[in-house]
Amino acid sequence: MTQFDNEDSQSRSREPGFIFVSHGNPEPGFHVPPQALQEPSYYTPPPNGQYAEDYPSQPYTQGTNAYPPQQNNQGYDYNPPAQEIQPVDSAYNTRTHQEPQDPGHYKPQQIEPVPEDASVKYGTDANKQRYSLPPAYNTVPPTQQPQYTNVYYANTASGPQNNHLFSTSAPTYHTNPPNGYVPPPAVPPQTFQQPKGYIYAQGPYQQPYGQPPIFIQHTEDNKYKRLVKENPKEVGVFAALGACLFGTMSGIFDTNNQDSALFIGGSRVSGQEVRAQNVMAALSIANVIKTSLGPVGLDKMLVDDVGDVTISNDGATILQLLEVEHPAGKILVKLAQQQDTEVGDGTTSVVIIAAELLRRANELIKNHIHPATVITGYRLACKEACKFIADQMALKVDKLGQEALISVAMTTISSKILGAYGTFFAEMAVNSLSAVKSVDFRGKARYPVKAVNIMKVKGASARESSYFTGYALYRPLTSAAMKRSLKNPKIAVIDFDITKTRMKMGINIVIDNPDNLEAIRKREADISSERVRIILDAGVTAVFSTRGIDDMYVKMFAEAGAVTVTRVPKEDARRIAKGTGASLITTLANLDGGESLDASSIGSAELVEQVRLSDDDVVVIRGAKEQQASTVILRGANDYMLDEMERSFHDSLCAVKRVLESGAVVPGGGSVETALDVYLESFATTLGSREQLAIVEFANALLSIPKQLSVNAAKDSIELISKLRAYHTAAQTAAADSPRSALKNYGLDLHEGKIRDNVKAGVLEPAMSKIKMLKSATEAAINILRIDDMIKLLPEPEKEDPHAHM
Amino acid sequence: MAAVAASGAPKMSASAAPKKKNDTFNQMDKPTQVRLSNITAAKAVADAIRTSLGPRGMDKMIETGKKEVVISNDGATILKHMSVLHPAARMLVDLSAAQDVEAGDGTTSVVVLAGSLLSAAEKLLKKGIHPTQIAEGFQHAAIEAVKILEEISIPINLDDREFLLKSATTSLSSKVVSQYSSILAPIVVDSVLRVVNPAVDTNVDLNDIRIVKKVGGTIDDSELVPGLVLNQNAITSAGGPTRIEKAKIGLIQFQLSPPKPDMDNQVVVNDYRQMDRILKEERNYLLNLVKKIKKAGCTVLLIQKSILRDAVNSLSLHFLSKLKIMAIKEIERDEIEFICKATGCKPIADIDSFTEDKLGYADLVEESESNGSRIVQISGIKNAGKTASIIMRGANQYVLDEADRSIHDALCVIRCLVKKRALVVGGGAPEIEISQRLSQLAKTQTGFQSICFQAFAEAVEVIPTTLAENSGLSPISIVTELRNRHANGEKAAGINVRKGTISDMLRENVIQPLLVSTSAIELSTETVRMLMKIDDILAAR
Repeated sequence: MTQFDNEDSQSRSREPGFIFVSHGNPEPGFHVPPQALQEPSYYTPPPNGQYAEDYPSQPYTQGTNAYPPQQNNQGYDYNPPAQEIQPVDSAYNTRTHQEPQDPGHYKPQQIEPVPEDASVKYGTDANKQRYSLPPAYNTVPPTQQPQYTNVYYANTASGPQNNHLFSTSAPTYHTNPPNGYVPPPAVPPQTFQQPKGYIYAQGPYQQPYGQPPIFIQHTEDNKYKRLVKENPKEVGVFAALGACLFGTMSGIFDTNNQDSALFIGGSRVSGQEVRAQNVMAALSIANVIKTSLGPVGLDKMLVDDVGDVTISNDGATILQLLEVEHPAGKILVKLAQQQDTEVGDGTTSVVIIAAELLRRANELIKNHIHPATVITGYRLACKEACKFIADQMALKVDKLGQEALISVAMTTISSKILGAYGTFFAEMAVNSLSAVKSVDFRGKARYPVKAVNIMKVKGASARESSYFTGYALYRPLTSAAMKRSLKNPKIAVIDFDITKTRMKMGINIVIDNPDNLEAIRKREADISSERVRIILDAGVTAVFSTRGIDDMYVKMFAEAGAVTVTRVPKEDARRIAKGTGASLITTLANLDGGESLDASSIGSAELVEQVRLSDDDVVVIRGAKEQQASTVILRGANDYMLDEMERSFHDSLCAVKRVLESGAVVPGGGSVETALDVYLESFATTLGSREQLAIVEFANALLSIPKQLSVNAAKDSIELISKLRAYHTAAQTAAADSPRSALKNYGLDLHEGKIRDNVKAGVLEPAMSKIKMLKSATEAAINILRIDDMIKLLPEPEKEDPHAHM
Repeated sequence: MAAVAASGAPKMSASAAPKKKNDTFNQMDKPTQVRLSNITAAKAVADAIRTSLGPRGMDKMIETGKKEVVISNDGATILKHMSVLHPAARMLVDLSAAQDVEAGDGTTSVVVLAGSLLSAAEKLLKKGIHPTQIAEGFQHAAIEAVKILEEISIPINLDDREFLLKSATTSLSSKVVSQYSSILAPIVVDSVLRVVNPAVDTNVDLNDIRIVKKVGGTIDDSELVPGLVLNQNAITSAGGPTRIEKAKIGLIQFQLSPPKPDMDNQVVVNDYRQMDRILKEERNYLLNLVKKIKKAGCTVLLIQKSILRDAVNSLSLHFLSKLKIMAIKEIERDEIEFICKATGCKPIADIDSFTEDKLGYADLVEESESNGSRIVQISGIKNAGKTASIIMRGANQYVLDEADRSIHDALCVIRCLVKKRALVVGGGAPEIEISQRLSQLAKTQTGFQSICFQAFAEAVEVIPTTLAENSGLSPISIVTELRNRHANGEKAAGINVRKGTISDMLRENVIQPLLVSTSAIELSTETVRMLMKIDDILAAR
């Protein structure tokens, strides 16, 4: 396990909203988090000022220590960088000891708290306390404490069963208490115990962990009790009406709990509790990826159980690699994936919005607004919002010209690893996609993203990435004896082996006379060489095979002046066939019972050549007859970077494709969300029903995008958003022809911390992506909100195999 | 196990004092304990799904033993997935399934009703009424209740599309797809009307309505397709066509691949010329098959799935594509009947019987892609049978599955109307009406029957009470007002969930088939009767 002890992970982990409350192990040089200092029996803080020197006297030399200090010539010595010693002053030590909850030096940038929104409440003391660790954790000695850094462990199959959200491979202290360690009170199985993953949702949704299991919690019963409390008179009347009505029904509820396990083979959570759980799961998911939103969002490193590393900024990719067990969490992961397949971009935003919608809905429901009302309100708001985007915000690309396309690609790229070379890659994305334009039989233009072949070649910097028209295959020519470059080739794409022919199963070759052996062998070879003849006689000069070609036949091709490429991936073979006008030939059989090669299945191009890229030989097909393909060669320092570059480039291709096919864009940088917020709030006031409240919450939930954008950029979100809202209000109240209505295009400039006209600045997103995002986020939120009961059944026992050996 | 059941029973009741194991067998109150234990178990089931009743009912999320997640609002589906262990509780699960088969809708109501009747029975037991008397009393009450329902029902005509649409909408209103009911209700009604002859039919075979589910897009994109939709895709690996106009469709049950010799038999080759012959024979065999198919004029070939041999191989696909025949494989055996009915083709088991008269004709067979998934659609079918195909679309699998279940419920509602052409209003109105009339009847009778009638009358009110509760309304004020309105002769007054008031359900278009309500009362009463008559649980091997 690697400790990521850079400053970034340390400082970020201190943010309360962040999912893992992380403590690096108390190595010297790091400031020890206050929680770790609470238990003096395990850890005595060093005397004032002598922290660094005194540290080695701590029991680090003992064998149990998981992190032995580094050793150099002078024995144990820690030369911590100067800036990291700073927090370890006397004032710090004494204070943290007396008031362990005091954030002290950890206090991040103080931002004015805004009511109703916890996402900007960072740094207020009241919130700090909520995120502190529960007492049980403090009983663990610091050296035993698992190390939680911002590394997510993906797909660890070894995770313990009670881990409902994520598995990390961090050690569990529950199973291995150190001597003298008093274990926390035993928690019966089947509870929604706090997941071992140390997940803290922001906002007041934390579950009271470690409570006894509730097998059946009856909402109606609670309702009845509440009724008694609030309306004693009514209940009196009610009871008099006849206990049969409600009394008997609540009679069902009295005989509950442990017996109910008899009726349901599992556990059950109902009512507000399940809603709170679901909302918490959703928030935890959103918390994982929210810091990667926007142009200044940061990346996540994911390590899976075999140690493979993925570094990504893409919401869908991150969530796909996390092992999410909570069913409601799974819905959000699916949501991100759906957005990825349907749109290709906006995967992070969709999850953030869905989680925020859920959080706010839960708040409303707690205030006795029926979930059904909230759902109706959300639906109404979503419908209105989509209409508003289409009618008011969307701009036609025809008016904005080619520039707009590059801007769209730029906007997508800006948040990713390629951001530094925005224009370069944006132009590349637009050009490479424009080159593959095709028209289907209905006359509609299509831009197949798949026709853009992305190749990753290690070495050289990202700047040296290049793009050309033509199809590149990451395969060399089969033989060095072949021509390196061939003009006007006739291309055949074959999907069968050209090897010595073998008879099928069930056919025995029995030879009585040894002379026949040679004849049989010769025939075996000849069947294939006849096929090669057929191919060559048809005028084919370039053969791309998805399978193998034996050396003797390669020689035949080479002697005839033809080139061959073997083991071409099937996907590539199909594309080559499509592009060159060839067809994928599975067999040479013709309709007369013989073998021949039809001229119609031979394609052509202008040039086939082998070029050298980095250390590898690559075959390139240029000027294909039917459909152009383009190839983008990405260069990067290592595999992780290349993978992430590919994902980023793919996202931008998708965005450009959407714009090319739908033809409408909207300004980015939070301007649509803010405009919708302003619009929906005024829309809400036109309704006289309870749904009004839900619509207002929907509107405010959308603001979480600009807020998160500015928080990620370390800008003052309050000020920026207030200003932005003022601009949008002005735009929406202005007359249609007034110059003020152009203010609707204002959005955030995250680098400068200002607001600006994002259409002019070229921050554009596909309109379709925004609409789809809102629709699916609302749909997912409603899906989760409708759940008021969760039944978890026990895993089915494995069926006994009657044939198994006992 | 018997001992466990017997000793377990007293524990469940608070009144029974713990006794020695053997004593339980000698105790006189054992049958009562068994009965009470059964009632408790069954009521727990009823309670479990109570919150999903009605248009504002909530969903349940169930994680099954296989870690699959099911989100549903449908009583039968929820209970099917909950692994209920107690035998008496299982009876309620079966009850819900029975309602699903008989009526298709009202699967939650029937269980809630049974739970409430059991509560009533429990009280009567405690009064000292004999269980068989209770069973008999309830039986009579149920017969009366059904009579009342039939009396207040409104006969309809299947030509009246409006009424059908309204009933489908009522059924859909409680589901996750409620907001799309304006799209789905016409789909449901039209598809049923397409497969029945309203003048003659008294039942609908729902197998004639095929629902194809595809993830991607939203429920808005669902549609009733003219013609047939196939789940399977056209095979394009050899470059076969994906769009055929004026298609002739053949459905074969044999394979287009070379026959495999048995394990025991071997083909022996001892001369190199024979090798060529083998290769050539294989080609000619397949070529012969394909040519015969072509000769019959077939342009679209559907191939039944086979477990013994490959349905097609690359050689036969190559020939098919050369001859411009579209091939679709993996047709399931149970689909054959539907496809034949829909396209008017006949299944062909042998190449020799592949003749033109067995083919179906369609104007267009096309594989199209929309919202990220491919479907093959056959349209403009001549001699089409009475079938309907619905394409369901949804953002994810959960939504899609739930939408499928909702559509099924709505289809069942229309089927009920075909079976028994009468409607009652919804919103708890008929239950209140039953309750009031039974109370009056109770007063005309004497003895245990009177008490049973009264208890039954009160138990039925659980439906409006639950509806009100689930809608966030005050059940007391709503139910009392409902009683008042019904006493004043407003037979159609029910709970208007949307506005939170009482209004005329007929005017609000909240209507449901008579069969759903009568079947719910009959089935739940019968289950309660059966539970009443049980006095011992024994485990049998």
